[in-house]
Amino acid sequence: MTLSVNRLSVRIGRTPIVEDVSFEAQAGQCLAVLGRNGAGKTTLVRGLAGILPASGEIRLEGEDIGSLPAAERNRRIGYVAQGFMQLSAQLTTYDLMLLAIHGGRLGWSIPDDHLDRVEDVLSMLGLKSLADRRPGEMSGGQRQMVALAIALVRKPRLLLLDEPTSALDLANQLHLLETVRAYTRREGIATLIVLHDLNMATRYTDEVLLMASGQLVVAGPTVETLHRERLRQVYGVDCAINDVEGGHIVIYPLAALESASS
Amino acid sequence: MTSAVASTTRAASSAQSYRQSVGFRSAVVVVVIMAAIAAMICDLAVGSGTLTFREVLDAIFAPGTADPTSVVVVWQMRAPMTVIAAIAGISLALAGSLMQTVLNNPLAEPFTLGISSAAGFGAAIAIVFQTSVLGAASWLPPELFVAANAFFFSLLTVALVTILAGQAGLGVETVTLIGIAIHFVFSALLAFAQYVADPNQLQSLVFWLLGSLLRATWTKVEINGVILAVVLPLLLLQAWSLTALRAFGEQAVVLGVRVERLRLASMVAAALLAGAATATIGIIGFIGLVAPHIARLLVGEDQRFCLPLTAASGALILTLASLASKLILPGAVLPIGMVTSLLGVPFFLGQILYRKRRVRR
Repeated sequence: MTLSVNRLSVRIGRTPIVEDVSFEAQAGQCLAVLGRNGAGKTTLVRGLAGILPASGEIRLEGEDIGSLPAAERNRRIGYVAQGFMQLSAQLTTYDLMLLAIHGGRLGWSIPDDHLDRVEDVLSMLGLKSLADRRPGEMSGGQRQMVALAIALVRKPRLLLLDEPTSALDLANQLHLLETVRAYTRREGIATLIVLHDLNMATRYTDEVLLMASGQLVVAGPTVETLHRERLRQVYGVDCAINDVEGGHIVIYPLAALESASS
Repeated sequence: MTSAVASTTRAASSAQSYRQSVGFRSAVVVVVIMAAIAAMICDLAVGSGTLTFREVLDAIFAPGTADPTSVVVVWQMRAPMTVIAAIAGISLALAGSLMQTVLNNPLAEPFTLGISSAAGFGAAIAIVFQTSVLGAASWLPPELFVAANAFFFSLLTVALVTILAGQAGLGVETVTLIGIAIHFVFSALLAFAQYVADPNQLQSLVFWLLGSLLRATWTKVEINGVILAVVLPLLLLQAWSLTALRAFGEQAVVLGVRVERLRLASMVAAALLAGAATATIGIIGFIGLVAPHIARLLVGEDQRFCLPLTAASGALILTLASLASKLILPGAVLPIGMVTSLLGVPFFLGQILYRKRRVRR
């Protein structure tokens, strides 16, 4: 088991937001974190990333990373939040990626193999043309791709993506998720992706974690777990679900059964 | 095959262009450091006494064989002012850069935490009420009577900000707001001291507040130099972490940066640097705000280059201001605080406009 999370609770200040979440992920698996606004998806991911204080056990490739010092733990994690980069930062994509490898370390020098790593990731994501651009000179979608590059260049064993496709057009959504899935499989890592688009979840993830009110409602294989009754229960939305080629499903929302505030 | 070759060429060109940019940025840092050193030599060549440039150079580089009068004029009268200008320039510039990074605010400067008004109030207590912390540290030389008080009060503000903001986790807004509140408290107390001062004391106090290099002595140079020599290497070692904090803010924690600890350490470093410089030569605005911006415009925000360039720019600006303050009114020395802004603003505006034009193209 690559990732094993046991009774994880995450709080913001003194308020517990996510409580008692347990789940597992195999090497090479992509997990979608789904749920309504305020369900605790982002908080869960921020707790795993070490940004928010968390209690419980997080084992990554057999090691309890929750008990490691922040620098050690974060070396194993790649995290992409929304608005990850400050737009005012006068740093190029190349600088930011080297920074991602070195941030938090002492000293100045950059070995040649670090430059190679940056080159490899830029090539893999097709971002070479953005190497010399600064965040303020890029579109929202380009920044999201660069944020992914910054996470991958660290060679993470656990990849955490918080709504990585929110600013992307359809083609780039497919490109990003396809790349993430292929990378996850090839490197044998575990990836958690917070998503709102259920069809992207069914298309690209192996398992889902369905969250509501800070708790995990259910974890299981994506296609089997996202059935009509469960979507009514978690999202308050009546959906039609159709099978399509390749064992995938398509979820078509029909009507909201309750208001967003309820 | 062709595409593999093309991709290798592109790969090489991207790394190559990064190496070129590193070369360019290093060159800019070296050029500005050389310019600062040249400005210091020019500053030494102008001032009290009538020495030729040749005599000044001899006194600097071959004091053993030079005319003893020239050596005394250069080393005892002019050098403390020149060296303190460079050190204070570096200290204020670095302090400004740290505050802008820590508070994620390009308008922050060393005095955002209220250091200037606190130092002013400390000086006012010494000048108006003839009371100084020096009384509790009698081993310090009496020439530090005003400076020690100013330094003590500037450190006190940072301690206050840290203790108060620490309750809320040293967030950017909290630190800024508490800093502003403390600034107003000390401004009010400074105004009170001015109100009750007699005309002579008031004159001394106003002259102190305007900022002047005439207060420089070798003892003060040594104190400022030691603080800088301790703080600067520590800052340079943290270059990656400071860059990460600037680029990613709170989320730099994801890269392994201990954000709160780095913030606290940077605030203390900024207070030591700006406090010592202010205590020595009075309140000099502008440098702490502008030197980091000039460095950023020239080499970007990688602190491996930006910090040394910020320091060099600070030294260059304050040394040029010192030179100008002696040249504008020959025979008199204008308060340096006034000259810095007058001289620096046109240069700074030129930089911004040039950059905007370049980006538009």
